[in-house]
Formats: sequence, C-alpha cells, structure tokens
Amino acid sequence: MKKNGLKKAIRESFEFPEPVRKTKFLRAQGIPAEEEHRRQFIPLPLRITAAAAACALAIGVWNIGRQPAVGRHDANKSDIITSEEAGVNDITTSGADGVIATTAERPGITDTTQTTAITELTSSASAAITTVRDTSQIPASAATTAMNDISYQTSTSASAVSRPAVRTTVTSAYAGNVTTSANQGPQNVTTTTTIIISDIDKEVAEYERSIAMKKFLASAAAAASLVNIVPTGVQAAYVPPEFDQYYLEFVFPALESGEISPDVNNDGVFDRYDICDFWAYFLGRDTMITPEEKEVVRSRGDVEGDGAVRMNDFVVLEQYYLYKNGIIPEDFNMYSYPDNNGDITMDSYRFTEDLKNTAIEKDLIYQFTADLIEKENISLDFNENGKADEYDLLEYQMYIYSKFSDPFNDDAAKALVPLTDSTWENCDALHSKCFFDSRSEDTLFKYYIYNYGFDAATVNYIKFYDHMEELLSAVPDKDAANEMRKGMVLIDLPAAYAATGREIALEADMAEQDEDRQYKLDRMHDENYEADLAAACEEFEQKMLAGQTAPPDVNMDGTITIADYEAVMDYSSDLQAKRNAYNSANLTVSVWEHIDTELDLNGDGVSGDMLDLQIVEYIVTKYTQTTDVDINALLQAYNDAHSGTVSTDVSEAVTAIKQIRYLESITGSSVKRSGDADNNDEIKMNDVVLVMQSIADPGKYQLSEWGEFNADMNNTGDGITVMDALEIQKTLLEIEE
Amino acid sequence: MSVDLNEQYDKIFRYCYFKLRNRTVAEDITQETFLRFLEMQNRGNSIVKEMHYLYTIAGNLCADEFRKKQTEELTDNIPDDKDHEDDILTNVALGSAMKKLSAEDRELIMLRYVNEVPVNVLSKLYGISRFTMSRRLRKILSFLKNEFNGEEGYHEEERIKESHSGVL
Repeated sequence: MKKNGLKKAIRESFEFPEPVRKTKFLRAQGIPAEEEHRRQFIPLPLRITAAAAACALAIGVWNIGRQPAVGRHDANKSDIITSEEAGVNDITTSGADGVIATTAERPGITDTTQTTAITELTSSASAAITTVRDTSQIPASAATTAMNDISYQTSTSASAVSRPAVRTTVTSAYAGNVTTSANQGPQNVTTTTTIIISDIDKEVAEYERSIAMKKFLASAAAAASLVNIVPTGVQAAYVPPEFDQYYLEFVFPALESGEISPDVNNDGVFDRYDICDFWAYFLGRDTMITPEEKEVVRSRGDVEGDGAVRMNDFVVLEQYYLYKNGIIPEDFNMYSYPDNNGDITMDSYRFTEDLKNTAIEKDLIYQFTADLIEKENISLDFNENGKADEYDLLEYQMYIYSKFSDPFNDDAAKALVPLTDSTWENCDALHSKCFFDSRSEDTLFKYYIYNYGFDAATVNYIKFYDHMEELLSAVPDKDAANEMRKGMVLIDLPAAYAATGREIALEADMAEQDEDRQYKLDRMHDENYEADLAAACEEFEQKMLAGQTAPPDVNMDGTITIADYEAVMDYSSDLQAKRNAYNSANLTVSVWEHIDTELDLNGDGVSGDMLDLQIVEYIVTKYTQTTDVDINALLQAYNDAHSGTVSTDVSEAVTAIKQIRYLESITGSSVKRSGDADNNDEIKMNDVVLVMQSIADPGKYQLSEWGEFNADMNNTGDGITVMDALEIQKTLLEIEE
Repeated sequence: MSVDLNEQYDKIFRYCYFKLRNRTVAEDITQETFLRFLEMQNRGNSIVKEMHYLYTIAGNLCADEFRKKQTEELTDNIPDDKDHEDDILTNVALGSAMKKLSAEDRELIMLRYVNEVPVNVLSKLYGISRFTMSRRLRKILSFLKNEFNGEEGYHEEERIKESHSGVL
C-alpha cells in the first residue's frame, strides 16, 4: 500500500461521534461573528473580480474540452442499431468504432436543448459515465451506461452543459461489457432500448480522459487565478516578530513604571517564579503553589487592570517577563522549579515547555541562538572541512538525534552515527549553550538559510544520502557502519532532512526563488493546442512503436501502468497549487524532478508541459488497455537497446515487433518507419548503405530486428528491398512523392 | 488570520474523545477549552499559534480529567473488557496495527491525519523539532505500512496452508 493510500485509510478508518451541543455553544459565544470577521480578509470587490475571472477562464477551458481530443474520432465503421420510439420519429443509435451515438429527431422541432451531465472523474479515476437527457423531446428519459471496471472508481455527479445540437453521444470508457439503457418517460416513450456492445473503442476512453483532465485543470486554473491575485509577501531578510502593539504601548510601560506591579507572588522581586506561580494558579497545579500563594496571586494578578484576573493576565505577564529579560537559559531548566515538596515533577517540565513555546513564538530563542553564534563567533563548520554548509547542518542533526537517543551516555550515542570526534565536540559546544532549545536543529537551519541563502540544491536529499554514505565509508569498522546505516538515527534521515528543510524555507518565504511553472499548463490555452496535441500524440506513438523513443515510464518503476498517468496528474496538481519537488502532495522528489526536467516527449524543449502530460495520458490509457501491444516489452526493448550493452536476448524486440505487426494487420494501417536501419537514432547515409549491403551480401551484413523494422519504408510489410534504400535516401534528401 | 472555530470545535472534540472515550465528558472539556481560549482574547494571531493554544488547553484539561478519574473512589461500575479502540476504528486491519503503536504515537497519528494538525503545531505540542516530528511520523507510517503488508502476507500464507491441508 502506498503511504498516501495509508494516510487516506487512516483518515477514513476513524469514526468519531458527533458533538451534540456544538451549535448552541458556538452561537452563545458569538462565533458566527468571528467567522464573518475571518472571511473579510480578502476585500469583497477583489473576491468578486477574482470569481468572475475564474468563471470566465473555467468556461473557456471547458469549451476546449468539447472538441475531439486528438482528431481520431472520424472513422465510423461499426454497427448501426436503429429502434423506434413512440412520439419520436427517428431515434438512431449507432455504434461507431465503439462510439455509441444516439440521435433523436422530432418533426417540427429543430431547435432543441439538451442537457448532458457528465460524471466527473476523480484524480485517480479513469472512467466516465455520460447520462443523456433530451429535455425537450424525452422529458423524463435517462440513458445510463453501466460499466465493468474493477480497477477504478468513479466519483459522484458533476456539472451540466447545454449543447445546441440534437445529436447526443453516449460514451463510456474502458474495457469490459457496456450496457446502455435508455429508460424513457411516460409521456412520449413506450419502449426501452437496451444495447449491449461488447467491443468498446479505447479511443472513447481516451477522449473521456482528455475531457476529464481538461475539466480538472479548468477548475484548478480557476482556483489558481484566485490565489494569484492575492499578493504574497516577499521576505528576503529576517524580520523579528514584534510583541502586541497594545502591550507595548499601554501594558508594558505600566508594568515598567510600577503603576501595576508585576510581582504577583509578592515576594519583593519580579522573577521567573512570578510566572511559574501564575501559571500554576491558572492551570490548577496545586503541587506547584500553596493555598496562601494562590490567594496572593488572586489578589495581585490583575495585570491588565480590567478588574478581573484572567488567563490573559498570565499571557501578558509571561510576555513581559521575556520582553524585559530576554532569554536566560536557567529560566528554561526544569530543575529550577521544584514543587511544594522540593521534588521535580512533570509540572516542572510542563511549565518550562510553556515558557519555551512563548519564547519560540516571539522568535526569542532564534535571536538568542543567532546572537550566540555571532557574538561568540561560533563556527558552523562542525566537520572542519573549511566551509560551513548544509552538510554541517546534516551532521548537527545526526548529533542531535543520537544525543537524544542516548542522552546520558555519550559513547553509546556516538556509536549510532558516523561523526568524527571533532565534529561531535563542535556540535556539543553549540548545543551545551542552547541546551534548553529542544528544537535547535530547526533554529540552526533557519539561521543558516537567512545568513547563507537558500536554493533548491540546499535541500537536495540525494546529495545528503551521498554525504551520509561518504561518512559511513570513513568508519573503519564496516560492521559498525552497517549497523549505523540500518539504525533508527540514520535511516531515512537525509530525505526527512531535505523535506523539512524545504518546509521551513517555504515558511520563511525563502522559496520565492522557485521557478514559476504555470506557463507549462498555460500551453493548453494556445490557439492551435488541439491540433498540436493530435500531431504530438501521433508522432510520439509512431516513434515509440518504432523503438526510437521509450514509452513514458513517468514514475521510473520500470513498467508502464496507470500509475504513470496518475503521476502526471499529481504533477499538474502540484503545479496548480504552486508546489514543487520538495512539498509535492504525492510525488517523490526524484519522480517530480524527472517529470519537470526530463519528460519532454514532444521535443519542444519544455519538459512536463501540458502537451507532454497529455501525451502520457494518451499513451498510458491506450496501451494499458490493449493486449495487442505489450508496451512493457517495448520499454524493455528500448532500455536494452540504449543501456550501453548489447543485449544477448532479442526476444523482447521480436515480441514487440510481432505485436506491432499484428496491430497493423488488424487496423489496416501501418506505423510509419523511420529508416534508421542501424537503429542508432540517427538517419544517415550509412543506413542506406547498410540496407544495400544486407541485400547484396546477407551472409556478411545483417540488419537487427529493429533495424529491419525501421528500414522497411517502402510498401511496408514486404520485407527489405532496394526500394527501401531508395526511400531512405529520399527521406534524407527530404524529397516527397 | 484566525482559526475556523466551527471546524476546530469538531476537531478538539475528537481529540478529547480520543483521550477520554466519554462523549459527555469530551464535550464538556471541549467547551471548557473554547471558553478558556476565548477568554484569552488573543484572537487574530497566526493559525499555528491559535491551534497550539487550543490543543494545549485541551490536552491539559484532559490530563486533569484523567488524573481526577484515577483518584475517584471505586464505584459499582465494573469496567468492561471492551477495547475502546474498536469504537472509533472501523478498519479492522488498521485497528490491529494501531494497537501495536504506543499511546502517544496513536494520538500523533490521529492528530496529524484525522485532525490534520500541521507538523509545526505538533512539534510545538510535543516539544520536539519539526525535523524530529517529520521523521517520527514517517516512521509510524512505515511501521503501519509494514504491519499491513505483514498482515496480507500472513493471510496469504494461511490461505495456502489451509488449501494444502484441505488437499491432504
């Protein structure tokens, strides 16, 4: 099970009872007003403009989807089934190469409206059900298509579009038997027609997919346009967060001047114990505060001066303490806070955590660490290689994890990681000064990206794996290194480090340097997009079948499956949501980067644009549903041919070629041959020479399986002749018949 | 921007129910949490901060409630042997895998994947770094994934054994 599937399973497996008093309670607290306030963050005119723009864009994109996807729907060769219905003169249902078209005409009515509801697909789904309803002629009719497809799920209903034509098309996708029934309403209809078609056109499925993908992108584009108009802050340098302006202007000065006493426990001094006692008072930690102390706190705790001692008084006082004193490490040491019996308890720890969290929220700990590094001139070059870089941070993480794995035994902790003694000591030197910061690796990473800059390479996990392996290879005891590699500290560390680092950078607005990839999706708005797509699909398919290019193994798992199609869908979702390789919703970094940089199927120099994604869609949906061509054999054959070694087993290529020829025989059309007789991806004069040599002296010169296939240009199917050599020459000279 | 309290109410209730397994008490605690949260008059802070407050308050109140329960006198109500995990976990395979996790890991899984609490809020709640939290979540997921696979493998093995024994 994939991890994403697991997350979904977890989400769906939990079933909690519903709270019964929610509405009443929230209403009593005035929560709807809160919600109103919350929604007003984007001004109304801006939202209306955005919504209008989004709708216009969505409608425009939607209309693109109404055209045949790649122009492959003009061949009508199959059966025509005709049935008669009462009240309707002609209802013709025709199966055209698997496309089922139902046409209903009624005398005197030419301008009719018909509503087609198309069931949307989920992102992972792959089938579509179209329900047809002609509202003017067949008032209560419904045609439904049932589908046998055990692999995929369809989601529930979607939206409706009106079309001016009377002609309706009932389409279904995917293999298996399809039963289409038209159940007519009582007014005009007396019969029910059931058509059972056993052979479904795969192209219909592709068309449906194409529509589904476009609609998905249309809605996503609309959403994206909404996001784009909201300005985003660019923050290149660190800006420390400020305390609440109200506190700074009114409360803190009053506390400072003595107008209000911060000494809530009345021991004569304002110190950390005032905060601790106030905390214990509010949270009812009776072991940390005596009844007498409670009484004192109750009488002196109105820090805000509003006549009541409330939680907010504690919040203000805690912030004031941190504002006034900054970070004092001892304040965060739980051993400073014994209970009434002098013992250190969980409450001692809880209080320090509370104080620490407030300090972190105000970024005081970050500032403390930054000051520490700068004022005490602490080097981040933990591994002493002369350069402070992201590898040093990785090694610091190793130190932290091993240290926490065995906090009281440094020798045992050291045995978990491949760090040198000097690296360990350097990390220890910094950590001992900020021991209270249980998130010091986060703090350090933040300091690093603010001071050393950030780019995608900073968190490229592959190089971290390499670095980790380098460190492990330097460990003299190989068994110990193996133990470390498999241990809980190192396993998965580089990937987690890279992913989390990326998140922190994004949160710090340091990810602005990301390339905006929206233009890749915007290709679909091109005027000639449909024609370009049709041509690109055809060209790629021919090349693929001719073994000149590899089938699109998008997720790089060595096979072509529906998962490859899902991967491009995930990629397009990521682009819409402005995600990248490091915060992708579903893809691994390597797959994301493969699509982003290496998936240029149409050879236009842009990898992973809409054309490339839809070529994948076309190829994967078509060839995973047919048994005529084994696309995985094609992939294997291509990989063998291009792996740099000569394959001793040509059976894969033979099988693939046989399958292509079989497909040619049943479709009556042939795959265009390239003329690449020596199968080296280049068509040159030596291909002509090789063909002539193979004819003249077959004992000495032989064409490979793919070479023979590619060279059979003239009158394809008749074997290699001199006319093929001539044809290759013509191709070289760009002479057309 | 503030958190959506309507949405958070459900989530805090789930969290309390998950910890206490008593619907009425969970709802009481949820309301108490919100009263305290609203009393702080500290809205308008970041979502992360507000969520952190909410879960901290709820967690502390649940801990208090749990402590109160432990010190209560014994009553005639004899606790049944029913596993309360089964009440909320509808997926049997997942349920058995979840039972092998520690209580804290179970809570973490519920908070992250059911309540969709962001990692940075979780890291604050548990007092560990985001790096550590991310790794911990990954490890738990890996464990659950392995458990699932093991379960499937086991069933397959059992099925083969059974079919063989049938032949014999």
